[in-house]
Amino acid sequence: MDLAVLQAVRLKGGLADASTVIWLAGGDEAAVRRSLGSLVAAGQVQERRGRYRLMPGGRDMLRAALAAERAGLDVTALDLVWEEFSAHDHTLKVILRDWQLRDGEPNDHSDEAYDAVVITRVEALHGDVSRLATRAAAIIPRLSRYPGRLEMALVRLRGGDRRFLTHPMVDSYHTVFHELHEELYGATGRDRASEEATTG
Amino acid sequence: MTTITTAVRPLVPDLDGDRALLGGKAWGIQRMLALGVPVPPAFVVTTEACARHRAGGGRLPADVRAALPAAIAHLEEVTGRTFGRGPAPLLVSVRSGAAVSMPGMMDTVLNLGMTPRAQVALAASTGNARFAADTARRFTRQFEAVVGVAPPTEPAAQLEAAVSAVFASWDSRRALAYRRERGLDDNAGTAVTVQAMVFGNLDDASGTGVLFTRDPLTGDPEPFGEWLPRGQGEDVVAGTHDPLRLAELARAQPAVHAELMALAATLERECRDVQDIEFTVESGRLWLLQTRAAKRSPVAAVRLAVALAEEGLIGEREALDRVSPAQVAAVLRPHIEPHARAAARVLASGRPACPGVVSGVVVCDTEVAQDRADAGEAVVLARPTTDPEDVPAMSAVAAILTELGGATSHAAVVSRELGVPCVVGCGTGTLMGLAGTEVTVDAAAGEVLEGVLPVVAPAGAGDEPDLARLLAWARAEPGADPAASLPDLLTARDRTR
Repeated sequence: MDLAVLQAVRLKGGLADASTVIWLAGGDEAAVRRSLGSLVAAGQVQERRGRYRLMPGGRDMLRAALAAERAGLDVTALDLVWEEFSAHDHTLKVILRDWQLRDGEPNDHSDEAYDAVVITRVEALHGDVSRLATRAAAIIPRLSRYPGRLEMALVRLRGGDRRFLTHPMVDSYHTVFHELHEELYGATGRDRASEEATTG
Repeated sequence: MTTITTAVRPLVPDLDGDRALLGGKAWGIQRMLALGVPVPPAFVVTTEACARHRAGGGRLPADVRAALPAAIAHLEEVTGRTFGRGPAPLLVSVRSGAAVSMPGMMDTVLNLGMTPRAQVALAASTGNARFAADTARRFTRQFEAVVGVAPPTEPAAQLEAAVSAVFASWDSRRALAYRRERGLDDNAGTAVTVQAMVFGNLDDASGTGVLFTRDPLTGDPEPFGEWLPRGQGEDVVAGTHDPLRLAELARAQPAVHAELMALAATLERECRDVQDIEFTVESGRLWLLQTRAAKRSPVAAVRLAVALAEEGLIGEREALDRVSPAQVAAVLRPHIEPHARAAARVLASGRPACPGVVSGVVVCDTEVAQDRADAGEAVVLARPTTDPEDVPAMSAVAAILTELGGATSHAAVVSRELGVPCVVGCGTGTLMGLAGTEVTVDAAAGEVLEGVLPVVAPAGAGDEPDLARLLAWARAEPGADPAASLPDLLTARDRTR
């Protein structure tokens, strides 16, 4: 449970309140609260004005917990998921760029037809992404929230709330996708900065 | 003299052939010759030959190979030198030149024709063995870098290989990327200009430089340039040496400086635009190597268009032609005061992700950045890359910089969504050392400048005198909407032109 809690706190970068951590970590609410309480007591997580933030000790603990988790995983299967997922990362980023910019200028979202085409491209990608999220959750059960979160972002986007494609402060498609990507980096023992440095 | 086929043409004042065929470089040389400007003799291998070179899988067409010796003989005749051997050896430069200028994107080989015999002869004729050795060393290094093999000893073989390599550099990755970014035609091809070398590194009365007939950053009317004593062309352009101001040339060689200024004025008047001129002084004798319309900042584009029209060099209509809606928009956006900008040191540069101009102190630690930003400080967050846990800090800071990643990276996507100015991909090791430094980020230009610089924010076209002139001219044109904004009027003109 500690691993899921630490990861939730980390991914939200100090913005998560208790209910967000409970929701992200999944599982039994009482267990999440107990874990969060003991992590705060041990100084691994800091609580400030109701929001939780990872401290250096918590970061070390998270790293160790990920390594321990990895020891019990089918790493080959997970590597494959990471690889396929990373291939979709670029595709999604290009779609997001086209959502944000038209001919280099900000998209003012006045052209519904243009936006609809972009959303269609996300939907076309979503089938693969969703299957990969499900595969990831089958290997690592604590990731079981992701398929539903991706689905939900798409539902809200289709419902007309444009924030749910790219906005970083809501559970948008990009937010969920990127957090899952980050989870896969951590689970496979990769470091994103050094991967990006080698792949350009 | 042997007849020269159309693919290879000596540059003479009355040469026929358009810019698309000859390329900008040869076109400029030929125009200078027509104006009586001192230009080292040259010939051009046309863009048409480049097309056949590309179609033929990178092999130099037979007619080009056959025509090169006669073209070289022409240079030998004019200079009184001999290609690749003494007593006075002829060395040539081999340069790209597309119809649309692509500065620095394609390859150049200087000092071609350098052989062991030529080196000995050059040392003897100049009495300067160090200079001859230096020239040989530069040549070998550059030839290997461009052609990929050591230079052959036969000068004619060197020339064929270099012309072929310069043609091939049209399809280099950086050239392709440059054209893609600007929407230029991938099939236009480059011409190759082969020109007798003059030596800026011959003695203390020699050197090389560039001259802008007016300041291309600020649009100030004074000539602006750099002078590198005992240097050769690529030293200034590549920025590998610290050049001096042109005033140094005026002090050291007043007659040369005066001649240069007179020629610059002639060229600007004849070309009816601000020129970017490359020149070399060889033992006190001035040679102009090329001239072209100067690349300019948006602020300079607006100022220069109005200034040239007011001086009667161009008409009001042409002044409007020379300013794009994007340039006007850039001047209307808050931007760094041009003189402060020209004087400021560029600490890092990368790809623009989200535009905006903002100053602040560089902080590399995400949590510290967030705390200081929350406390009301203007913080520029600099990270190798960003990831989800950086998002809260990214929403709190004044600007975001990353070392890695392109226009679709996490930082780019998030910054655009948050509307926070952002420059991505500044390069590994470029940012972390800036921690604690006060900087001004010009995100649209992709630049990080030292210090807190003054920012100009015109309220509208009417608020800025040069834009007001352009607006008045644009509104006076037949069919113009008298209530439309300047960018809209320019866009409408573009559409009907």
